[in-house]
Amino acid sequence: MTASPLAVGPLGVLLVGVLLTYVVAAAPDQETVAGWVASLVCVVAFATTAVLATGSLPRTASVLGSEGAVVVTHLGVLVAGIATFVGALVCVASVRFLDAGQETYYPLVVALVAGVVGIGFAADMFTLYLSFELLAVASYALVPFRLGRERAVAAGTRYLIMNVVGSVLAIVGISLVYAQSGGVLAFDALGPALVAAEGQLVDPLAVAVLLLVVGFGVKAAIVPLHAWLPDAYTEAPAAVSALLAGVATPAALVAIVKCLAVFPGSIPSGLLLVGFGVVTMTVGNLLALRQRELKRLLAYSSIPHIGYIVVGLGVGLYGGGVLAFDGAFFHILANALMKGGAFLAVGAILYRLRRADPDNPGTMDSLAGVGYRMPIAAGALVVGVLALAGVPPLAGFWGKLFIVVASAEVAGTAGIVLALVVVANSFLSLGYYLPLLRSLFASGDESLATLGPSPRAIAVPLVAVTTLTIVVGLVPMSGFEIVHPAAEAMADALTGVGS
Amino acid sequence: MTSTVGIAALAAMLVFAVAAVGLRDMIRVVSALALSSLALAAFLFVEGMAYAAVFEATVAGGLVSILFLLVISMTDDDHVGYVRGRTAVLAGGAGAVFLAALGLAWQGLSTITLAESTAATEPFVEWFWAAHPLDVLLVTVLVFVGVLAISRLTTPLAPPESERAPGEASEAAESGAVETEEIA
Repeated sequence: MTASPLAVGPLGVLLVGVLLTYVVAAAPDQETVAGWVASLVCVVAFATTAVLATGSLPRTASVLGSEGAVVVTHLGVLVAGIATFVGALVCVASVRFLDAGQETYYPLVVALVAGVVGIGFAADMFTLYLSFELLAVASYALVPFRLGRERAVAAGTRYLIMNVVGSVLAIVGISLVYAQSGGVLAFDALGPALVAAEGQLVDPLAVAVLLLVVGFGVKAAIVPLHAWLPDAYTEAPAAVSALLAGVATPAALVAIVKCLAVFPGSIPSGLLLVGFGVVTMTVGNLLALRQRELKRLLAYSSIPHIGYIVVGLGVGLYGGGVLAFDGAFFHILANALMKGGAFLAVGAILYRLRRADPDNPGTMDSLAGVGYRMPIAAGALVVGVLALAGVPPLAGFWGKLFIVVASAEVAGTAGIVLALVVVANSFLSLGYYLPLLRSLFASGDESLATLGPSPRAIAVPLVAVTTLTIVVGLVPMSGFEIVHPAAEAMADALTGVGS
Repeated sequence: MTSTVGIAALAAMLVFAVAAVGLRDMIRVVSALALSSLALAAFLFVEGMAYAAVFEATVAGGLVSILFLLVISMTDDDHVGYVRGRTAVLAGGAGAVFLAALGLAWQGLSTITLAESTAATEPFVEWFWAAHPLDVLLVTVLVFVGVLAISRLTTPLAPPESERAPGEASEAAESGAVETEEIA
């Protein structure tokens, strides 16, 4: 493992950025400047991550004299790259839309991104937990950010209660690991420590696995722990929904897989995830089919994508195959682009619709003709939705394909059945995505004749994220080269602990 | 092996956590969460994770949860009177949790030596700072972010249009930022 001070760069920039952004935002009428500062912080963190990715990994750095406090792995670089990129887009998209007196918005966004990056770079389970809490606390205020809306406050309250309980369960799981490993929590030393404890005390480790999956699974919105998600994504500002769906929720899945990868192979953590994944994607799709409100539909449709990723991670943990991790990580990357773009596009559309008519319900029926009046937002939504449905050759297709192939390869008939379930779910999602597209380009309503185009501030991030969704789909090797080292490292780590 | 006290604390933590999700009364939810955090901190402490217990009791579970729920509930008109009527109970509970957390922290930082410590005679506090500087930094930022979040959630809302003086426009309207909240 190479030691390099640069390894602490992305997380350090973001932690300092939280304070810096607040100092700027606290000055009178400086919300716009704060937005640009927050964007710059994310861009610098992204650039530092990119530099780290080009060197040899893993790398470590000492923090205030403590060696190995941060370990930059391929998975960490992937997570940090996605988080800082989406974070920068969200900050740029928000710049023109903050009212006076909302100086806490950008520091909270940067803190959320810092929490995700911390999860990626955490060298031990406790640091991972603290990073997870940083993400969580920032999101507790961002979800009900529209305090004037009663439904937003109710959604925030439910989100808070469920996630606090999830955090409690996760730390209990970590403490069980601590007890069984003889005081070891560092990821690179935990595998052997837990294998040594395995012969005598397997059951506490199985309980720890369950607690970690359930604890972090609340934030990941794995069914049946998903109850907070539809209201939270619907009531949060669109930019925050993009951040939550594209970055925060998948980060919880990364936290799960980082923790579970150190457990001995005799504990069926992979099968547990596969079971949760199948239920999550199926229930999520069935619930989404019933939705008519645009943003709520997107919120519900986030659940099956969590399911696909969980199935990929589960198959990877079960069979130790690189391909399954390739699929899961590729879908995390694609999900950030697709969901990020789709929520920003929906935000732009609802913004214009409600400027034209404050009582517009934002249902699919009220979208008729929007596609002609707002081509950029509608185009981004079309690309995002088709990619989410897994239509080739967009970004959402390849991750699912890898997961399907890996599932079929790993477990004979059961694996083929699992692959068919994934494929069936993908087709099922067309049942709610296609009506949405039809609504966008239905005959225009006269009342929408005055509808303005997409706001310029949000058009730029929309074009960027949509272009990437198309490019990653058309040239899948570009995404594959980003995710494959992380998948390979994860498979190697599993081999090391005897899975 | 987990001790009887540890198992009891764990059981109490789970009971209070489940109750927090199931209860509808906000005050009881707050109390259940606080007690759950305290029981968890006790469990972690008994199991030897004193530093995790300190963090849990002082930051992650206790105060942040209580304050968040308090301010969120106060932003909902239906709850304002309700919360006000039970402020003494809530403040007393929060105070008890805080004092217990402080006691635990004091105990943990001053007298405990852990197996993880490099030398049995090394004071916990010295080992703690040397071994977990990133964790301390993260908790510091976490507390700062918690304060920012509370500050946001307690921001006074602009009065509804019907309650404004004739001709008075909101700041947002004057700046042309009407209905911007859909995006940010």
